[in-house]
Amino acid sequence: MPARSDGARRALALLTLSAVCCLPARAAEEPANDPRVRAVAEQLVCYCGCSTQSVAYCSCGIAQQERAKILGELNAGKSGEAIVASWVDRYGTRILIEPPARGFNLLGWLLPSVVLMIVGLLLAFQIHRWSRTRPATATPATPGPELDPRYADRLDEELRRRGL
Amino acid sequence: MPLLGNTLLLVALAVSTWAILGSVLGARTRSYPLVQSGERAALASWILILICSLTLIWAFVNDRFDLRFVSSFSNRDMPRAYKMTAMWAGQSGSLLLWVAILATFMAVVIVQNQRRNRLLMPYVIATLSAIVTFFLVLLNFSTNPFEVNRILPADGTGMNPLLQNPYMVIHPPTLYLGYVGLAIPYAFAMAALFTGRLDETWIKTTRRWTLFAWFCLGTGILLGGYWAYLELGWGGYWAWDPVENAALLPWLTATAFLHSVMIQEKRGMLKVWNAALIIITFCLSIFGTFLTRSGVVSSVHAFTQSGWIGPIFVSFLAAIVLISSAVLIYRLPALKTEQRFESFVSRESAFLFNNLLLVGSAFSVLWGTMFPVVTEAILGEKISVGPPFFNKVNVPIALALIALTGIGPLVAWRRSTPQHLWRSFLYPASGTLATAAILFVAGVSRPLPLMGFAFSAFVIFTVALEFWRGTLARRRTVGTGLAASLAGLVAKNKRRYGGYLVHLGMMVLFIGVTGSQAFQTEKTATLRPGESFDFEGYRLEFTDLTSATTPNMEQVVTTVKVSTGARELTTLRPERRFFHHPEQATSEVDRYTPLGGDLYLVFVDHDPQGGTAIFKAYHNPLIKFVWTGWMICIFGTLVCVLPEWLRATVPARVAVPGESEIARPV
Repeated sequence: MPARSDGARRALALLTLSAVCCLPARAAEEPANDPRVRAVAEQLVCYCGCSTQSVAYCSCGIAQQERAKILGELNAGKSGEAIVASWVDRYGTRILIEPPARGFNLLGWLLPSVVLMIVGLLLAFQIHRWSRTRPATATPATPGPELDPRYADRLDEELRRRGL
Repeated sequence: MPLLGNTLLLVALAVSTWAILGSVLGARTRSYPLVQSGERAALASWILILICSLTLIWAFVNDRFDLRFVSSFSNRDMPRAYKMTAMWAGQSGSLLLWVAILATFMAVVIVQNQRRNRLLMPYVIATLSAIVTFFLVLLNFSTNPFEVNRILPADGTGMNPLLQNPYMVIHPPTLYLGYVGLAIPYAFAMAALFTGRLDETWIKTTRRWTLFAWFCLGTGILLGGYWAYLELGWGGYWAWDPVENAALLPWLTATAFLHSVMIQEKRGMLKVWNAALIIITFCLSIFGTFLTRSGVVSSVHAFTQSGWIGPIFVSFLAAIVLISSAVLIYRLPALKTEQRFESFVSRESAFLFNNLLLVGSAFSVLWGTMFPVVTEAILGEKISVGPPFFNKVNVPIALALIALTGIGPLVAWRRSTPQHLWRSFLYPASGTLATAAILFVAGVSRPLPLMGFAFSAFVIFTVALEFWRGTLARRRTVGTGLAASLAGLVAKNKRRYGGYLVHLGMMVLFIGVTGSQAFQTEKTATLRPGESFDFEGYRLEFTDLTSATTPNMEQVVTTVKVSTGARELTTLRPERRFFHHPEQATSEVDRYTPLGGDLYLVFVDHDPQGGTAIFKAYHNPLIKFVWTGWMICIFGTLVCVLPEWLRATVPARVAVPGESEIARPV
């Protein structure tokens, strides 16, 4: 549960305000509306401490300020990758919203899918084996073609009705 | 008063410990008086815990700031309703609530089973009392709600204003009802394992409890999402926050359990798996409680800083895992399956894959939640695992699960013949392809959302077909009208058709999730009064801004007129609130909510000098389906738990004159 309590936040909001108010007040030039800004900001975690939200979507004042900064840097010709890299330099890997897919972090990315696939295959294999080694005492399979299809339908319906 | 609370807590601990010992000793020595004393001790611990909770609530209502817990989460200006519910705003109060709910459930179970399950009951009580005892140890020695302030403060700090919201009042208790409710099937499973009475009695006895817990957990999750949507102002309802994930985990495995017990009831298979699944589910419920209350995920360091609660919880969890798996392994020979799989294409194997996917997605959520802790512990490097990770991993699993939700009910038990499959799949599959084609032409071209919608449609078609065929069959055999046949069908097979309704609700929910996640748009605008901006076919005009001061807060309210073309639709009034105690700003969003999607308006900030205000508008397509979907699930669950005698009130053959003519489709 995000808790954004402290007076510092209000002070920051004021700071943000002064930053934002210097910008021309026209909707089209809002940094948050710029797809280039969003592409960069989406990769970064907002450090306001609310929750793990990206700078693109966090509703706090800090994110707003950072989006304006990113827009400025992009306009000054800095590439998106360079901006992300400078954030990583400043705050460490944890500023990235998802761990980069290399080294130890690959384990984080791949383990669930790998486990799921292996268990899935094992399960499929096992069911297949079970169904082949049916004990001889098992009840005969569903009625063969010699049964009148009308009776088969009727039986199906009866069984379904009784929830079997 | 603190003395009273502390004494009661200690006495409760002693009594509850006796409930464990008395029950176990009584059962082992076959001494009825001992068993009875255990049962009475359990009831006594319930009453003591209840008085403790009432004492704490009383302290909140009467501003007893000599208690540290009260002074941390309340103040004089807070409305009384919030004072009465401030108990679950902090750690020790929530844990007291947790154990109070558990003890209450235990009392209900004792009363329900006065004459039934007499051999299981001592172990049920022992298991439940062991959990109660653990929480009482925590409350007595680690995080005591009756701890006294050294210096009496003049006023309390107050509750976090974000929590001062009706949804936040009911969200935690609902969630706890779910977390705690899972203890009942777990306790019965343990009793079955301890006593060796391994037939499906424990499953049948706890079926309603499991459904109730599942339902409360789900409702709690949804309420939390709705609260986040209304209160946090970022346009969404689910952020894959550790605390949210913590509630989702047991819900997922409980869903798996609800399905897999059907195989045991019908075919006598999967006994080991069902016992293991309820053990896992209960462990996740304890883990969820721990995660919610410890902050361990934000950093491993929070683990040791939280007053020993971390290590104690982990030891408890380890004890549950060890004891439960030890008994399970001990009983393995007795848990042999009575039947065998007959075919790959059968309901049984559909259920197994359903279990695989549900448990797999629980695992991936758990893994993603804990991975930052793992890396920090192993590499010492801090990383973040944000929403994109969870979406990437879980969306494919969810899609497969939806497809299986459609396939499962169409496949017969034991084995399905090709003819049977063809007959069952022909209409739903064609309907799905047609839906997908229409959606594609209509512009839904990205594969994942398209699959999301199409698969949900598939399930809806199969459910509709099941109802239709069942109703027709019943009309033929019983001879009632369509409406009466439908009612009779549902009443005779409440579990089955209630289950279908839950499936239907989940699909409506998924459609809402797909729409609001994949097609959300947003726009930020800075406006002076009189200015407007265009968004998603709406024109939003900022007309004015007023502020008001109350003892609790300062309120800044904006007025925004929403129109489309020349037609005025509504006036939205998003606000910002600046609370005094504690000092904190919150945003109150306002919404325009037609069926197609919410227009969600946040008042982000304003500049009193320049007179400008910053707004952020979101368009969340189909989001109403999320809430509506869960309503349908609630209805379906209610159908499932309708008491058995209801079927007797539906007459087998009532010929209401003319009814069949009216109900028959034209």
